[in-house]
Amino acid sequence: MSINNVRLAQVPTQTVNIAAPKTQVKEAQEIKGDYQLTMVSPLLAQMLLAQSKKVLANNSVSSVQNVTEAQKRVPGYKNDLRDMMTHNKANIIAVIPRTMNAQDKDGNELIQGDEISGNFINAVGRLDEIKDLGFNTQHVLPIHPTGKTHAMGTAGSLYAPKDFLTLDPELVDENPPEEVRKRVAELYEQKTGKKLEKMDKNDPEVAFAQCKYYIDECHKRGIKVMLDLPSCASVDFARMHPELMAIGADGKEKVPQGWQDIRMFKSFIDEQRRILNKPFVDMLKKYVDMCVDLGFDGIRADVGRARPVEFWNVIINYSRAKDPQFAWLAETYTHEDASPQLNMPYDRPQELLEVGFDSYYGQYHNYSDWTKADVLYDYVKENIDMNNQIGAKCGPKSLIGSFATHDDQSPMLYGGAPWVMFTTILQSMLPQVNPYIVDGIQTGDFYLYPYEHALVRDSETDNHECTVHSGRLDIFNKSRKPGGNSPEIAQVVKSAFALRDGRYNELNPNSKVKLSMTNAQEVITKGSFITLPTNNPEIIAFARHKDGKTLLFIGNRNINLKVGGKIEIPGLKPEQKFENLMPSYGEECKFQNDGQGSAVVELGAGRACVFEIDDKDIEKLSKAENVLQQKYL
Amino acid sequence: MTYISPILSNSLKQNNKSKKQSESHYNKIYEELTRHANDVKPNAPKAKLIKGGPAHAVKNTIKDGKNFFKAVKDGKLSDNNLGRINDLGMKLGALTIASFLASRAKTKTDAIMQFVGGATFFASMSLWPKLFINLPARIVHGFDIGQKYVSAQGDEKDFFLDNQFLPWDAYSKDELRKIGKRTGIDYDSPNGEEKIQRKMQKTALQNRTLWMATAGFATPLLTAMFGNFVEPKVKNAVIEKGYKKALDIVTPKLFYEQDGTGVPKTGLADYLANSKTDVRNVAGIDKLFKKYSNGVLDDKFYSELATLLELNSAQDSVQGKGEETIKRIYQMFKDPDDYEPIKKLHITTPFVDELKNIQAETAIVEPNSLENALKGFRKPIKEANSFVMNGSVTSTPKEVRLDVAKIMQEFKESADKTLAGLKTVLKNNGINNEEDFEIISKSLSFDNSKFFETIKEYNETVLPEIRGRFKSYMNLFNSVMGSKTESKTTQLYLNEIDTILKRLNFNYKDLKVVSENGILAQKTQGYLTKYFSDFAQRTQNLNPEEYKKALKEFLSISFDSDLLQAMDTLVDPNNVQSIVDGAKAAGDNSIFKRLNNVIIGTKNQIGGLANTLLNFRNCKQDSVEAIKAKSLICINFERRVANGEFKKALKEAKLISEDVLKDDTLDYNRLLEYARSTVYDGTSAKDACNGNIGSAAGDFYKKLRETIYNPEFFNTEAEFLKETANSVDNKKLIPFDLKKIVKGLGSLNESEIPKRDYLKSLSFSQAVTKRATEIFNNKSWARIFVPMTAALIAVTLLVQPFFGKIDKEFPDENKNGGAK
Repeated sequence: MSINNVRLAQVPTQTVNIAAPKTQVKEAQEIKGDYQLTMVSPLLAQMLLAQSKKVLANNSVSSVQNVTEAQKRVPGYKNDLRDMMTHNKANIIAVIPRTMNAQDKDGNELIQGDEISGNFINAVGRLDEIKDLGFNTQHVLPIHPTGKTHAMGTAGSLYAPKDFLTLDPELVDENPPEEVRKRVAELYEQKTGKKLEKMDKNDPEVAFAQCKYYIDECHKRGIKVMLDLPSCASVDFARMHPELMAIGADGKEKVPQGWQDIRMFKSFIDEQRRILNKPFVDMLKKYVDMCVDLGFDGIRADVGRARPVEFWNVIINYSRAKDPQFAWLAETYTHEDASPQLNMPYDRPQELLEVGFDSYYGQYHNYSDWTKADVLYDYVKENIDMNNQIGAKCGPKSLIGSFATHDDQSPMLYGGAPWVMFTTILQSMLPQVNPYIVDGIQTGDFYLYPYEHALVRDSETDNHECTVHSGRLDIFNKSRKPGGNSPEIAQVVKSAFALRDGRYNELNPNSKVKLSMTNAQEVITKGSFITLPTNNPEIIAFARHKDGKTLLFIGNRNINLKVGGKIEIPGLKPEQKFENLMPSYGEECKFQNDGQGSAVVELGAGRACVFEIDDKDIEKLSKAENVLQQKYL
Repeated sequence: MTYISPILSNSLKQNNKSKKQSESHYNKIYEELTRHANDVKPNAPKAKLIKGGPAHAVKNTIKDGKNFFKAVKDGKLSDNNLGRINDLGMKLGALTIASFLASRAKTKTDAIMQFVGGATFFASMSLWPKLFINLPARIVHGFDIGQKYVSAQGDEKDFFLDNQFLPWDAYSKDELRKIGKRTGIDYDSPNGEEKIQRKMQKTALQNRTLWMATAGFATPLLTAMFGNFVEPKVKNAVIEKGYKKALDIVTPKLFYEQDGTGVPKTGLADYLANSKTDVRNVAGIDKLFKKYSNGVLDDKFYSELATLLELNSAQDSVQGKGEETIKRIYQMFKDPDDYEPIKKLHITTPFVDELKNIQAETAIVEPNSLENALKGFRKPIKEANSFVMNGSVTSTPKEVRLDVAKIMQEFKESADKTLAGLKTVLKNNGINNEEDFEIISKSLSFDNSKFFETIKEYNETVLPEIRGRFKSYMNLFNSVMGSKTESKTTQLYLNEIDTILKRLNFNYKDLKVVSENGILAQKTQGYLTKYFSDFAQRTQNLNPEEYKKALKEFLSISFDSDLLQAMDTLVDPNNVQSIVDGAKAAGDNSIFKRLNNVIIGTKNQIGGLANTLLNFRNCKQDSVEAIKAKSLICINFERRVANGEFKKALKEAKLISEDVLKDDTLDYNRLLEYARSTVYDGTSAKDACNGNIGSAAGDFYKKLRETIYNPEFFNTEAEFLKETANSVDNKKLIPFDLKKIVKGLGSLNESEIPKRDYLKSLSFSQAVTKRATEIFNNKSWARIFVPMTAALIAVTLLVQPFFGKIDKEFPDENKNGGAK
């Protein structure tokens, strides 16, 4: 591919309000020739263009991407997480290394004494399981040393880092297996130029090396890894770095409402003129350096709105300079006119996407309140419309299937395993969505910890109370390995992800139902979304369609009652049979083709089914307002 | 695949060749990026500040209505819009309550005031914060705490509704800078924007708290004060409108001369012809009839029927409850205003008798009638019982009735057979007369259909016509001269009293004294004495003509010719007759005929409506004439006191002889005061007529009264009264003969006072006292609540400058930050 032919429309981040002297812009335009170049700034463009004149080669972009250290460490691995996320191909699991593979011997679910908490090395033991289920991306919750002052829980909140540029020594395994030790030592030596004498958790480079080992193991299995960047700092950090911290006009530290263990950063040195606080940005620049060096494929930005667009404009672009495929996931939900949370800015997903984020959380965590199918459809439409509106200048954007994040109560508490299976299948079939599951949910963890609010003698923090947000994943204590007693959920996850990855027949060799289409992944990740009229508002019925191939989702979101109804399926052939591609669970479902273009269904409580149907014309025959298509994919 | 700029990529590739060089290059890129961080800016806010206003409020109410129906239909509504439906509910609720209360109001003014009250309440609720909180806050602090905005979701909200959810970026920097300038905060100073926002936030919070704290008092106070202010205006408007309408209808017009009689006619006939009311309670009556179609028409039936016909008069009237009957009749026509004039009728026997006849008419098939009918055939019935029931018969009349019921039951089971059987039994018992048999069989079969038909015809044809015409007629009558406050004559009368009060120059204290001294109004008499004696002194040296001229100016009350014409038309018996004349075509049954007589009566028959209305008109007119007459008597008295004639007359009558003075029981001043109270206080005259005073005082008091009311001294006043009598088309109505009146008053003989309304109307001091009390009540209410409102407003305004203080919140400028 000639570089002159490279399509540039999707160049990220260089989006809005370029303000520079006209002469500079003109010069930049002259230099770029035929390219549709949209740069961060004319000055940067000018500088880079001048360099390119000397060294420009006719290579495709992919070939000219810099080879990262992580790439060098794992042959065959290449970061494409950004593409995966923007093109809805990431199946994400959120994990906490501190608890991921912890070994709770006494069964009290709290890791104490000689019990082994999760660490970078034993976490590797779970990677095959994760891969087997079809996850190809990890969202790793923060791995930094936690603050110990005014702390929440006995281990400190993951989101109250004491330091952003080192890793939590508690995640170091000081006695790893020999072959692991050797590999870690190599990595240590590569970085420091020194031989590893002792696997000392207090040596920050040991933690870096073990983290690299963990990431490499993920990469070897085709799993991309995103690190969680906390939005605030611990009280300990704030005491050490007062120049970075936000002080209100009242002279007090800014504390995000409800989180007494953390302090807000000062993003601006001059808020009225919106001049960034350079030392703060510098620190985050180093953070990006660290992530790229460790081999992370992207960053999940905690509370994206906590930092302004100017900040992200620098940091995201900088990460892309180092790794164009470096992915950014924003914890941002919905447009707010104002923030309901004291000391926290308002939430504006669109501007975060425009400035460079690839994906965002959205509002699927509210799905349990959406009792009618229309609400879901409206939300899908809202997001596709927004992406289609901004896509021309910043490319495709996606959501994660945030039906339950670590901030939410376990969905098991809402509707048990059927509800989790229902939402798993649903999110795996929705457009513009990367399925997202918090570790433990795949086997039905209720996140109910017996030590909740118990007082313990041994604490790593100044708090002896085992703080737990009831029903939520424990991020404050060293807790047991996540997991529950509903292995059937894992089967559903596996089947649903196999279908969306286009590997259904391969991964379900014993299934009676065979998928005849070969482009299932394309249908699900790129196909149109067609809502199907029903006479029962609780029935969710939609089709995904691409290149003449159609998948059908039919589900009952009512977890208490069986529902029945009629679904109009434009173009449905009278002889079409309905064979469910998903594992069966709960009450039986009945489907009948009425021969007149409709399916008459009876759906068990919380049941979700997916069918392949031969309906080439469904898109044409459906009402225009029922057909949604994400452009710019 | 997502691509990055090839130029950027290429440069990166080159730089990767040397790590050291690469890092340096990344640093350069980073520095470049940081220098141009501000090339991007936050997106423009979706929330927009908006301006409100009445049109906007109306638009919102309509929108709320639409949202309500949307919510009902689809079950979809945002929380904000759901909350707003509450406002809509309040408005609709208020309207419903006002409508309900208005439907039960006794006067049109009251009915209108229900709506005015509701509207005023909402207006007060809206205006209080706007005028006394938002406006001063805006003047003092430079921004609108009632600022509204449209959210990103399109919902309209108060900007400061939730003090912790303030979409600040809806305010532009320039706007904040301006507000900062006004509040003394430099926007460009450190934390300037935050300080301004905090000040606004605090000011708004304090003001909104003040609003919440004061609205509970302010809204009802403003509502009541505004209502109080508006009510007289509404009342006057109602009177004027009603009066104008009445004039339009009853004033003879050329248009109506077309019938060739040459006599100008009014639009009254046409107006009445279009006054048919709705047929009432048809379904209820049908249901009742169905229930009793083959049953005994018992007391309960009549009670229910009377209720459904809104004619509960019948049975009561039979029981002789005259007053109740009148009230029932009043209810029959359902117009509260009608009661008073009808009451004035002094309804007498013929009216009640007619009602009794109506009762008799309806009582044909009453249980009692049946029993009576059967009484004459007791023996045969006993035989019949014996035959049918195969039992012995020794029953009382009561038991007979029970037995009859059993017979009826048997008849129902085998009608033809048993009827024939009964006939046979009757024949066997010597009852061969077909007429007798007819009566019995009719009674036994309880065939009520004929009666029901009559009632239905009455309800559906006659009653609506009569009701409609009567109501319309009485509406006109009341607009012109009803006793209720909403009539032109009452307005005239009250205005005259008000004029006198105004001349008396009563201050609040005076009003209080008058109102607190009750009906005897002794204090009032004191004021009136001054009022009349001043006039008397002013005019005592005038010759009779000049004196009459001064009197005309002083006693200004009079009916204008339009009003007199309208009164005359409405009491014309021919016109009253037209109430039923026009309805004749609707039905011609016995009930109608009797009703005709009840309402209209024969011409000039006492108790008939025509005569009553005529009398009533006279009363109204006389009450005005009485004011003049009573005033003239007072003036005359004061003139004679002032010029010494009264003292002289007392001496001549030997009422102040040495003997009288000797025993020290009476002196001149005490005698004068007694005489004055006799003159001013009509009750005294009444008592005198009833002999309550005269008998005790003997000749002395008789002489005193004869002295006060000596007709010889009333020549000029009598002439004046005669000359200024009201007239229609220059035809003077018969005025009071003042000389005759005073002669009657002096003689202690009521029968000698002309049979007019002189004694029946309020005494002069009573009227003034009554009116003064009303004014005092209004004023005393105002004296409590106006200062209260003023204090509330003052406090609300005065605290404004103290709001929004943020000095303590920003003690020192901590520019370096730092955790503590």
